[in-house]
Amino acid sequence: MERKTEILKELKELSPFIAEMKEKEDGFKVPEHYFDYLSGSVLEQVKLQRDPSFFISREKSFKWLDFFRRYQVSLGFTVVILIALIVVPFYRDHNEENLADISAEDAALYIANNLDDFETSLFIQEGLLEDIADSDFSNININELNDYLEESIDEIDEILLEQFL
Amino acid sequence: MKESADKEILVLLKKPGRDYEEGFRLLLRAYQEKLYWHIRRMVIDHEDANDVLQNVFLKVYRSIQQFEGKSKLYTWLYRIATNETLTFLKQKRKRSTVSIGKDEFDLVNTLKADSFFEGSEVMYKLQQAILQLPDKQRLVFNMRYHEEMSYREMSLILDTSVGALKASYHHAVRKIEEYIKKLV
Repeated sequence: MERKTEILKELKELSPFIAEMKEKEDGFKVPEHYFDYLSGSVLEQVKLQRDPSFFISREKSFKWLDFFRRYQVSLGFTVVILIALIVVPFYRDHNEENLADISAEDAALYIANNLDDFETSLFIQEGLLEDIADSDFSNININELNDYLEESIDEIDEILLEQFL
Repeated sequence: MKESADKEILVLLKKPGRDYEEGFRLLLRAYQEKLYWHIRRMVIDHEDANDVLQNVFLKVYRSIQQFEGKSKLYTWLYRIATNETLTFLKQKRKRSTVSIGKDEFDLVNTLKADSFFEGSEVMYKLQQAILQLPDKQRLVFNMRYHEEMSYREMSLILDTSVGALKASYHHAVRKIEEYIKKLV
C-alpha cells in the first residue's frame, strides 16, 4: 500500500492529468478462463518438446534443416568448390560467351551466396549428401536440437515452424 | 510473490520427476498472470501475448536448473519475459518491413483491431500516447505505472541504474501528457 501511495504521489507531481487516469480500468481484457487453462497448455508444449519423435518427420520439408544441421560452414566451402566444378562446365556448355571469363573462385562464391537455388538432389547425386530417407535419427540429442532451433529461429520459414508447433 | 513461496518452488525444482513437475506447476500458477500482463501491455494483442508467454515458460522450464539463485526468482522470470517481449517486437517489425517494404507494423492499429481491448475513449487515447514511446521507455513506464514496481526492482530486471529509470519514467509521463493534450 505504501508503494502504491508513493507511486501515485510521484505521478500527481509529474502530471495530475495522468494520475487521474490511473484509477480507471485500462481496457485490456482476456478470454474467459484463459488463466485457468494456461498452465495445462504450457505443460502440453513442454511434453511435446520433450518427445524427440515430435521433431522427426519424413516430410521433404525437413531436408533443409537436416542439411544445415549436419553440414555446416566447416564443410561448406569444400562442397562449394566441388559444385563449382560441376556447375561451371554446365553453364559453359550453355552460354560460352558469358561464362568464358568466370573463374572457379567466382563460381564458388556465386554458389555459396545462392545455395538455396540448387536442388538437394544434385548434392545427393554427386554423393555430397546422404538421402534423408537413409538417415538415422536415433542419435539426435534433443537439447542440441532445441539449441539449434533457438539460434536459427529467424532463418526458419514461418510456415515450416507452424508445422512444428 | 512471497519469498517463502519462491523458496518452496525452487526446492521442488531441484528434485527430479514428479516434484519437479509440481514445482513447475506452482511456478506457473504463481507468475502466469503477472508475466502475461507485463507482456500484453507491450505487444498489445492477446494472441501475441499468449505466444510470447508460452515461449517464456518453455525457456524457464529448460533453464530453471541453471538458475543459481543469485537474483530473486521474480527478477529472473521478469528478465526472461522482458527479453522475449523485446525480441518479439523487433522480429515483428523486421518481418513487416521485409514483407511489405515499409514499416507497417503499428501497434496502434493492433490496438484498434484487438477484440480484447474494451477501453473507453480516454483509455484508448492514453494507450495511443503510450504507444508513441520507444519500446524500452514504454517498458519503464508500464512497469512503474501499471505494475507499480519500485525503481530498485526495475533496475535489477532491466539492468539499468535507478537514476536513469527515474529520468526515463518522468520524461515518459511528460511526453504522454503532451500527446494526449494534442489529441483532445
